[in-house]
Amino acid sequence: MIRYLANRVLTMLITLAVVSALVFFIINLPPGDFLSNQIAELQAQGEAASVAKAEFLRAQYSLDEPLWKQYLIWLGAVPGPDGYSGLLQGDWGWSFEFDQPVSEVLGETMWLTVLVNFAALLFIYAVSLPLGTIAAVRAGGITDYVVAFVGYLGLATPNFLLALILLYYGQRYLGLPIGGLMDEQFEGAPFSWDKFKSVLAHLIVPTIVIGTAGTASMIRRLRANLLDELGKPYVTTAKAKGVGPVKRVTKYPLRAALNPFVADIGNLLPSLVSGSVLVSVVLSLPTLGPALLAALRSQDHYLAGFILLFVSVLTLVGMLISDILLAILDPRIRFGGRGQ
Amino acid sequence: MNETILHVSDLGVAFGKGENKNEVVKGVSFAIPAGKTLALVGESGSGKSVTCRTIMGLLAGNASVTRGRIDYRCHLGDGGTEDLLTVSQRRMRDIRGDGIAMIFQEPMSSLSPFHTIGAQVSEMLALHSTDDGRTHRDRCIEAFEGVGFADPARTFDAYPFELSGGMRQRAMIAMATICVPNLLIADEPTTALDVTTQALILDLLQKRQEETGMSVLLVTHDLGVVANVADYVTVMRQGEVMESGPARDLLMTPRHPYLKRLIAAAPAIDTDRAHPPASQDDLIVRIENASKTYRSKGRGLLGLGSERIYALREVNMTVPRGGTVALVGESGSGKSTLARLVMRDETPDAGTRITYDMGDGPFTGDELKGNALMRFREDVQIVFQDPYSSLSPRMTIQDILAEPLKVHKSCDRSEMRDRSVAMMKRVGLLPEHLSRYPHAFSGGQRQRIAIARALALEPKLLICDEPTSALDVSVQAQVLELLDSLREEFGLSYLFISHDLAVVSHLADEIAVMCRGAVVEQAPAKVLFEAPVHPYTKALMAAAPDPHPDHRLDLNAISLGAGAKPEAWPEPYRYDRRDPLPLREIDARHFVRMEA
Repeated sequence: MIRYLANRVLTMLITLAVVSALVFFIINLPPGDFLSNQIAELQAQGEAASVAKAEFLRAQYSLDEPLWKQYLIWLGAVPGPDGYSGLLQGDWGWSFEFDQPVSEVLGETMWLTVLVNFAALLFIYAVSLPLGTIAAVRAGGITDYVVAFVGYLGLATPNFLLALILLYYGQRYLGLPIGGLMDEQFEGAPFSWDKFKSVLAHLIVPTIVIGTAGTASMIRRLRANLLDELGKPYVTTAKAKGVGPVKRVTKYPLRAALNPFVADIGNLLPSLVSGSVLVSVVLSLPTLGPALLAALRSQDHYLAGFILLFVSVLTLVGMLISDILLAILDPRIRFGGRGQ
Repeated sequence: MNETILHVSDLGVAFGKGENKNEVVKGVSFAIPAGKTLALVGESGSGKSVTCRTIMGLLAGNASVTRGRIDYRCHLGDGGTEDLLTVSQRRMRDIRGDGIAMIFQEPMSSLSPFHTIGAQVSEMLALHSTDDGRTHRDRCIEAFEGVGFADPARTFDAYPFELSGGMRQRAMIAMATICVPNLLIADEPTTALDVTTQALILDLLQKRQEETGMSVLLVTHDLGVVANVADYVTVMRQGEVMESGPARDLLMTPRHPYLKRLIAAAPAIDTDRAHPPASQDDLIVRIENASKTYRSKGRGLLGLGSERIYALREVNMTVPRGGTVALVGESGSGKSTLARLVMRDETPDAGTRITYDMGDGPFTGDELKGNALMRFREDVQIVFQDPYSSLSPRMTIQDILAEPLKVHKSCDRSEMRDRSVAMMKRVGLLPEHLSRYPHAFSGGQRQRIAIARALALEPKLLICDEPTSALDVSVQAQVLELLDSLREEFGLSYLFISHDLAVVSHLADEIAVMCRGAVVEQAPAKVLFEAPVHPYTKALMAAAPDPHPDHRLDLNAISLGAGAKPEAWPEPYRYDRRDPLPLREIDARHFVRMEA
């Protein structure tokens, strides 16, 4: 098991290195960059001082170097103008648009994104596990149809529409707050109990909105998997042993049906981040989705690159968690080398 | 007369609802005496498995009981019985596993892959036993010892996928008998196993029966198995009982014509019918030094620690033109690997030399590339084991038969049609059925279609990979007869693969017995059957159950060669798997792997 873990983490690190290179080259694919745009503008105005400043910035950020070297400097693997200062050293780069370090631009946003998506993930699992199980066990019954109907409704309704509806009724009948992820007075404030409560209250609507579509498809998948497993001979064996009806489902087939369920964590995370851009705009959530959109538009490439990389890390970590959970759940994976 | 433990009377079971209701069990009655074995015999579709599942209350949702009763006597002596069709769900759960236990055909999928063997067996105790949970582990380990596990404590913590098929079936038996049921229902418990394993499992079942005094309801299609273990027999066909009675009487003097036919069709080694060896002057294939090694998947990033697996090692063999060479062995013996090498479906190891002569000059396997390989594919065709999965369910029979012609020959539609019609007639099917899909045919008919497809290109060499092992015995005999007559008519040569010596005894001129990738004995058919030398050959012959009640399985002969373990064979045949003994010619064309 420890060997498996070590192996898995090592693979992840290698993947991460490859991904970081890909990300860097992809964001540099569009011609030009933030600074050259700015320099062109300044030169048109003939302001020598500004041009000199821009040239200085170009050198400062090694934009005059070849791309592969820029990448290594960004990574922190070779010294730049300020010595070793890159991702490996904890320097996430500079946002030209905001004229601030990326770490300060994103700061809280990142952790709020993780929070929103984690809550959505929990919501998806908490809702789809029981509903999917019931739908499979009562396949063809009235419960199955009701669950399927609600699920398809969730899939078909545009998220932002659902967001607006929920906001309206949430505010009107439950007094839920509108927009943002916390009350204004807590923004930028240090962590406190009140801030926490505020965040929780603001989380309810985004969690439901972002989670609905995922829940619907997850229910369908769990139902299909479980139906497959329920027909397997080992379920008949369990029945022939005299195992009761509830345990017969939960102990044996449900465990097998959980495999794809767990394996999905890694896939869900990135789709949650990119899929929730529109919702974030509608609900004015300070998450990474809108920030990425803005950074890409203004060719603020360190900012965009870092966001992409961060999402990749989320995905890879999700995959790692999936794999570890799978190994715990399924002995065939755990003892892959030991069998036959 | 013994007390009756289970009495099934006038049982009817139907599938479907309303107008589509289709009765598959039609008024079946039989009784199982305490401590005895009743065999329920029949071919596929006879309703024997459905009957068993009805007893256990395991019917699928679309099935329903239409009539009859199943009287079960829980306690011997007190005279009270209860009807299993009307007892409460709660009571039924108590009976399952405790009073009536069941083992199934598929040991591979009947155990949950997520739980250890120990957890699954001790669950029986947790459900049905009143004693302290702390003793469960010990009782399980005791049970594992009882069914012949060498290291029962390790078995407790093992997962099913770590065990072989035979070992899993042993675990199933341990699980089913740990609560000492009154009745054990065994639904084709040995059908999925190799013959020598089957013999050992049947022996184990009988031992457990003697120890516990339980009754056994054994479902099987194999009269050889019946002759070995059953006290009473009930023969079923299409949902009805054909004949019932004591096993010996029925097998010796069958009255019903159906049972007579079954007994006649039961495969038995028949030395009188063995073909004489074909002349070695004109060979269609000569295999020299054929080996195939695989690398096991290693662990870690670089695949370190991978092992070499010898699927096939140093096989020498010839197939005479117009002859039939049979490869016989249990699963994992390398017989299918050799067939794939001959077909050039896989590339053999360096050093292997396979020479073909299809009639216009010899060539070797290594020369086969591009067009030459396409031409070669016309000459060598294969019939697969499973006619259910080897025919595409989305193609009509016409399309299936025409496809090889489309690939290899340029003939127009009407010619394809004519050839398909001719092939259908030749394999004994109606040409009118060409527009049907495979699901409309029975297993035997599908195998005829598969044979017709293989013959469409008029091949020279036909490889038959266990062509009858998925079929019922009576159908098996017909398919073998068809293959025999086709050989002469089309001038074919056969490379015939089987796990069953009895099946090949009607067809083969020469037989090679394989074990763990190596040929252990090779001889003309008559010689091999009349004077087998190697203990493994003897075990295979002894393990084939004979429907004659006086010809019981010779467990001593089986255990000497069983298990396909060269390390465990007696001298002078014993060898280490990495370093096999040489194959010695002890008589004219009779080779045995043994010490000089």
